[in-house]
Parts: sequence; structure tokens; C-alpha cells
Amino acid sequence: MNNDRLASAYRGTAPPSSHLTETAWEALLDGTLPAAEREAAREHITRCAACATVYQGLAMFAIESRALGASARSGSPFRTSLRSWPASIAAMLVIGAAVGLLYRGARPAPGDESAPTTTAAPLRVEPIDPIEPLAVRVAQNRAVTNRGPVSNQVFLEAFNLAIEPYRAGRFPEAATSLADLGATFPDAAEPPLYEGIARLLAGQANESIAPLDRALGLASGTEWLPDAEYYGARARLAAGRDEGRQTLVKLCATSGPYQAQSCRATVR
Amino acid sequence: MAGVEDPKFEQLVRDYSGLIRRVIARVSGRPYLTGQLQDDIAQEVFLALWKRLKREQPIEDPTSYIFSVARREAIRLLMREASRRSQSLEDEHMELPSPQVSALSSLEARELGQAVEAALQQLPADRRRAARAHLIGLDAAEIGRLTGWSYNRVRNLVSRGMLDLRRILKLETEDE
Repeated sequence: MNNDRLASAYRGTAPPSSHLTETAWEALLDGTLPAAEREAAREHITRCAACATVYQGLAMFAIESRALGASARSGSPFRTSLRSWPASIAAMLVIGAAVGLLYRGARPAPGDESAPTTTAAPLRVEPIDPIEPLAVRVAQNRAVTNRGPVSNQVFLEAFNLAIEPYRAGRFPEAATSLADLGATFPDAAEPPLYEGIARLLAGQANESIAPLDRALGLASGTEWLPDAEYYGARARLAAGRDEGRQTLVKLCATSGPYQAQSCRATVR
Repeated sequence: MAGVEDPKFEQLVRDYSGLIRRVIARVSGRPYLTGQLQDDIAQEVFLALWKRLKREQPIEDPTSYIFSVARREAIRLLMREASRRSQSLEDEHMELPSPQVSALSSLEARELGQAVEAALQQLPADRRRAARAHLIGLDAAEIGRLTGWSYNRVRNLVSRGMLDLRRILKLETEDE
């Protein structure tokens, strides 16, 4: 019996009779739900397939709200009810036309669509997340040294030495030692990955791109792929190359370990 | 009465269409928030903007305002959609019983569900929550956002929780 069948049976058991309210969802996403209620809400979502579905649809809104600093506080003057639809057919025509324009790719006045003109204030510009060093680890198949090939042990010892400056925050030195390690173990993804990150953290954005590209090539189909993609994109962005932003947008739209950081890093 | 030639409305579209398009595109990668739902959200956002314009209320921070309206409408629409789906599933079960799904297999599924629930009760709290979230269909990133756990911690807890569950249920682990 596989886990899918277990999941199906679990979802088929009696669902909770009540669900989170609209207000509770907003407060949960805003982080304003009191602790006890927050815990209850989290617990409920893991027991209720319908609410889990709602949560999945809203997860990105939670990230974006934090990134944009958007607020939907209960006392906000913006909380005018939208329930009372105007009876005016003309108003509906207006809205329909607006959506039509929106999806035909209507452009605002010449200049910049991201800079609203008369009634709108300029978009808020958020600082891009600082680049954090990747925690030091090795591929899981290397860590199991008692079952792996002997060369794993050799690699681990060499890696431990080469990564030491990185652990200590001496990134220029780490870049050199990891480049040497990469020359000795050309098939391993770890050396070029950490070398690239070390160069990036040392302020050598342009020089970090080549090792990170090499790491990306070696990381295909491995656990290193998200790391190589994310840091490669950050390196390009830091080097003023806009294709890095495209990769971050893609990572932002994909579930994975760098989704939240990528979303924050792409907010203009 | 407003019409499509209303200059104020044209101004509104010029001012906000790019921002609204971006906000909605940002969430387009999520499941259950595609197609018609996006159109519906966009309609609601424009309606809200239009109402404010008619009341001549300025919008001090359009990004936050549009985002909060879009999110509120997404909550409403997703709740409605989830309710509709679960109702339609119940109706299907009631009206069109599949010949393959016998009363016995329904009973087995119910008993299995109860056994899973009983087994979950035996897990440590964090593993239990991770396993529940996994079983209900959340992925690792979503579980992380819900609980505040790191991605690696989520993977670890889900993996251990599911192994524990199978062990308690006396299921083989090879077929995982």
C-alpha cells in the first residue's frame, strides 16, 4: 500500500463540520491571529481538505503581502464592503472593459506601467534580500561514508579543509581553496557551488557566475539544483544582468526551498 | 451613470492596469488560482477601485490597497470554490456510485482512514502535524509557511512521520 492510498483514506475521514472564516484567513495571513487561535487554525488546515485547498491558493498571497508590506488591518479605512454590487449595468460594462483591457495587455500612458500617473503614488521599492551564505553540507550520498565508495571519505576530508575559510566568513580565501578543490574533484558539485557563493559574498559578482554555472551543470538531477539555480540567479542580478531576475521569478512561482527568498528578491 | 468612455475610468485603467496585472500574475503559479478565478479577482479589484474613485477617496498606497483587495477576493472565491468542489464530490458519490467502488471497499477505506487517524495520535506532536499536512496534500514549502519550519526540517519531519505511520500500521516500507 502506498502513501497516496493512505492520504486518500485520511482525506476521506469525516472532515471538520466548520471551516475558517474569511476574517480568520485574513488575520492568519497577516500574522495578527492570537497565538491560540493561530495554532487552532494551523491544526484545522492539516485536517480539512477544503481549507487546505484554500490555503494552497493563498500561500503566495501570504508571501507577497510580507514582501510588499501590504496591510489589511481590521481597522483599515480600506475595508469598505464590496459585497453590495452596484445595480448599474454601466458599471459592469466598465469593469468588463477594464478586464478586457487588462488581459489584452493594455499599456498605460507612455512611460512606465509600474509608475502610476496622477492618482497613484509611486510603487514602493523594497530592498532586495541580502545574500545569505548557504549552510555547509555535502551531498547525502557522500555523507553515508560507511556505505559509499572510499573516494567519498577522501573527498570529505579535502572538502572539510577547503571549506574552513568559508565557515569562518573569510570568503576571498574560501574562493581560492574551493577552486583548488574543484580542480581535484571536477565531477563534484559542491566545490564550484561554494566557490561561487564565496565569490558572491566577497563582492566578486562577475567572477562568481562561471563557478555557479559549472555547479548548475553538475547539479542537474541532484539535490544541489535549487541551490545552484538560486545563487546563480542572485549572482547575475548582482552583476547587473537582468536574466537573473527571470530565474528568480520562476523560482518564486515554484514550490521549493528558495521560493520565499526568490519572491522577496524580485519585488521592485 | 458611468460609461466606458468616462475619462476618469480611462485614467484609472491607465494608472492601475499594469499593477493589477503584475499582482495577479505573481500568484498565477499557485494551484486553484487560475483562469476564471483570476478574472474574477481582477473584476473585484476594478470594482473596488471604481467605487473609491466615485467617492473621490484618494488611495495613498496603491500597491498595498490593490494587494489587500485582491487577497480578500481570493479568499472569498477560493472558499466558495472549495465548498462547491466538496459539495459536487458528495453529490457524485450519492448519485453516481461507480460499480467498481463496492460497499466493501468504501468500508475498507473508512476503516483505513480511522486506522490512520489512530496511528497519527501516537506520533510526537511535530511529526504528527507534518504527517497530517502531507496527507492532506500540502507540499513542503506550504507546510513550511504554515508552521514556520525550515524546508529541511519539514522534509525531515514528513519523512520520519510517514515512516512512523507505516510502522504503526504495520505496512511495508519498500513501496514508498
